[in-house]
Amino acid sequence: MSGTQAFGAPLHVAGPEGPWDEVCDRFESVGRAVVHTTWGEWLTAALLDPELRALLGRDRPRYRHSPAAAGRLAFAVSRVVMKHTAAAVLGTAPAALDIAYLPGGQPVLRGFGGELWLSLAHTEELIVVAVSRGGPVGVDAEAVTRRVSFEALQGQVCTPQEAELLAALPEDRRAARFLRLWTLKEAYTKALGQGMRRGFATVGFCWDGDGRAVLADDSPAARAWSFTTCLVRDRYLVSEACRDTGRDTARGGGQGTGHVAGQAAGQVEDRLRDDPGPLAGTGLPPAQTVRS
Amino acid sequence: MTLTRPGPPGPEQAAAPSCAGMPPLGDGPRSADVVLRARWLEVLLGDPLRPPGPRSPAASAAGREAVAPSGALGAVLPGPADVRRLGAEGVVRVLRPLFRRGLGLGHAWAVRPLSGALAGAQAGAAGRQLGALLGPAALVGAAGGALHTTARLVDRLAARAPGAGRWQPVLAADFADLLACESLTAVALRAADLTAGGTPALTAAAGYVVPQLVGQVLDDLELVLSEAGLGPDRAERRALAELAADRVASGADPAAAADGRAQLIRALPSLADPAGRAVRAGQEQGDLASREVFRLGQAGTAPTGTGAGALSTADVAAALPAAAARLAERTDDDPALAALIRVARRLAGEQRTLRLPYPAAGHTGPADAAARALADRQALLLLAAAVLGVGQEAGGFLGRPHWALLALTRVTRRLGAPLPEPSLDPAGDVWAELAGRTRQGIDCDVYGSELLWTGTGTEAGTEAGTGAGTGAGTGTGAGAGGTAGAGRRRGGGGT
Repeated sequence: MSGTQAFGAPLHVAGPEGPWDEVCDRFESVGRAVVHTTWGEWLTAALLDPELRALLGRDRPRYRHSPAAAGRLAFAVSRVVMKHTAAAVLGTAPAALDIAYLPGGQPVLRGFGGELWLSLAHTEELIVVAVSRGGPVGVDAEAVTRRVSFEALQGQVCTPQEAELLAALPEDRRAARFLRLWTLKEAYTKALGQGMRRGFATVGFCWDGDGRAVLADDSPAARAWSFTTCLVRDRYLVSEACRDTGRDTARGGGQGTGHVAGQAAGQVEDRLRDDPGPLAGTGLPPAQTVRS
Repeated sequence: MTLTRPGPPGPEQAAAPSCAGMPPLGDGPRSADVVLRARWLEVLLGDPLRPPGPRSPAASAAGREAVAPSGALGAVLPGPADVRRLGAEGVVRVLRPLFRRGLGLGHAWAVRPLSGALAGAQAGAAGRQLGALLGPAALVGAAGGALHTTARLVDRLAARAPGAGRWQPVLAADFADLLACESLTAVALRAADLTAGGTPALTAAAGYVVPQLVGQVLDDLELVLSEAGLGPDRAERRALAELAADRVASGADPAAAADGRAQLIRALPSLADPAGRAVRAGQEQGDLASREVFRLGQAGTAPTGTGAGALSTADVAAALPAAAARLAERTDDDPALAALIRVARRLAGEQRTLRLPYPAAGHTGPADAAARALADRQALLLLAAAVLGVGQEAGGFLGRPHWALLALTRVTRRLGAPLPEPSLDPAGDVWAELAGRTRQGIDCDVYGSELLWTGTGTEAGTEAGTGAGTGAGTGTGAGAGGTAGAGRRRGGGGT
C-alpha cells in the first residue's frame, strides 16, 4: 500500500504541462489540493523556460545567490511548481502570479489573501505544494529513512501526554509514530505561519478512535483543523494540516477527507513498521528537510 | 528611557494648561472635546477588571449582539451629527476606548450603527469615508489593547524568566506594524476631514492592508502567549480567541479587503508617477495640504489648494519620495536616521518601478492576477508613505526614526524587495517605548493616549482573570489583574 491512491492523498504532476485535470477536480471538489513531484522531473522544463526569469520574479535574486548549485536548482523548481499549481486551480497564467512571503516566511499569493493559501515543503528530491481556498494550509515531508531519536528529542518535540503514549509503544511502532508526529507538527506550525518560532512541545496531538490525528486542545478553534498523513513514492511521509473556515464544509472538505486519510495514515505506520523501504537498511545518513 | 509621546503642537498653537488628573488636551477646543469625550466614555465603560454591572459591557458573544446603549453611554457615543464638530479623526479617537474593550462590542455599538447612518447621501463623501474606515479603526483599537496586555505580561515575565526576552523583538515589530496601520487609517480620516471628497483610494488601501497586518499581529500575540506558558483557559488567551471569533462573526475584514482591492485596482492609473504629480499640481500648495494630513491629532486649517479635491491619494503617495528627500537633507549624525533614509529611498525606488505596468492594469478588473498583485504592492507603499509622513510631522517617539525604520523594514520585506545593509536593529528602542507605555498606563496608539484604568500590577502568572467581561485586551490588566479587584484608576477621584 502506497497511500497515493487514497482519497485526499497528494497528486503527482510530472511537469509544467501537467496534466492538471485531477488537481483542478480535487480543488473544485474539496477546496484544496496537494501536489507532489521531484525537482528532477521539472528541472529541464524549468531551466529551459524562457519565462523563468519572469516566473521567478522577486525570487530571482535569491535563486541567483543561493550558494550551492543543487540548492539553487531545487529553489527555482519549487517556486515554479508553486506558481504552476496555483495557476492551475485559479485558471490563470503562472507568470501573472506573484508569490510573496510573510514576515514569518510563509508563502502567499500576492493579492489573493483570504482567498487562496499556499504551502511548500521539499526534502531530498521531493517537492510538495499545497493550495487551499478554505483556510490556512501547511505541508511537511520527511524521508521514511530519517532517524529522529525519540529519547533525545522527546522533551523538545512532545507534550508530556504524547511522550507517555509514545513510550508505551513497542519500539518499532514508536519510531513510525514519532516521525509521523514530527511531520504533523511541522505542517501545523507552517500553516499557522509560525514555523520554527513555535515550539513543538507546546502543540499537542492525540489520536481518535479511527487513528486520525487531532489537536489535543478541544476548543472550537482547534476542531476546525484537520490533519492527514500519506506515504508518497514509497519513500516519503507527507503530512498536511488545514483549517477550514467553513466555506467548503458542504463540499466535503475538512473532516471528511481527514477521516478517510486517518485510516490510511494508520496503515502508513503499519507499512513503515513492517517495511520502511529498501533504503532503510543501508545506513544512509538522515535526510535533511529543506525548509521553504 | 524617558517615555515620550507624540510631540506637542508648534509654538503657534498654544496648548491647554495641564491640570492634575486631566489628560493632555491637545491644541485647541476640538482636540480638548475629543480627548475629554474619550475619557468620559472610558469612565462609563467602567473598570474592565470589575465584574459586569448594569452599565458595564460584557465583551463576549453577547456583546456582539448587544443593541446600542441608551442613557449616558448612548449620549457619549458619537453619531453622524458629531462628525462635523469632532472631525472623522476625532470620532475614531473618541471610540478607541470602546474598540479596545471588545471588537464585537465595538461593531455592535459603533461600527454598524454609525457606518449605516453615514452611508446615506446626506452624510457626504467625508461621512462615507469615515463609515468605511470604522472597521479598520476598530480592528486596530482591539489589537492595540491585546498588544498592550501581552507586552505588559512579557515585560513582567522577563524579570524572572530571562527566556521571555526573546519575544520582545516580536512585540516591538507588532507595535511598529500597528502604529503603521493606525497612521494609514488616521491619515485617511484626516484626508476625509480636509478635503471635500476624501481620498477613496487611500481609504481602500486601509480597508485592504490593515486587516492583513493586524491578522499577523494577532497571530504573533497568540504565539507569544502560548510559548510563554499560558494555557487556553487563561484570560489573555481567551480574550484573543474572542477577538478572532469577533472578526469572523463581523465578516467585515474579507468584505473590506475585497472591496478595497477592487477600488485600488481601479485607482492604479491615477496613482502613476506620484513624484511627478507633485511637481505638476503646484508643488507648494500640494505640499502644504499633504503635510497637514500627516499632523495627527492637530486641528486642521481650512482646505488649501484649489478647493474640492485639493488633496488626492496620489499626493499622499508622493509623500514617500518627498519624505525620503527631506530626510536626506538632515544633518543629524544618527545611525537610525541614516538607516531610515536608505530604506525610504529603496521604497521610493520600488514605487517608481510600479509605474510601468499601470497603463495595462488600468484596463483590467479585480479578477486579473497581475492587477491584484499591483494593488497589493501599491497599498503597502501607501502604508509606507503614511509612516514616513506621520513620522516627519510628529515629535517625541513618533518623531524619532526607530519605529518608522522597523515598520518600513517590514514593508520592504513584504514587498519582496532587497533590504539595504542593516546598520542597527531598531527593535530595542521600539520595545523600550512599548514596555514603558505598559508600565505608565499609556495606550499603544499614535497619540500616546493616557489610559484611565491602569491595571493592578499583580503577577502575570496568576490564574485566569476575574472574568470581568474583559474584551480583547483592554491593556488595563485583563487577566494580568488576577484575583484582585478593580484596576487602579488614573487621577484618583475626579475627571
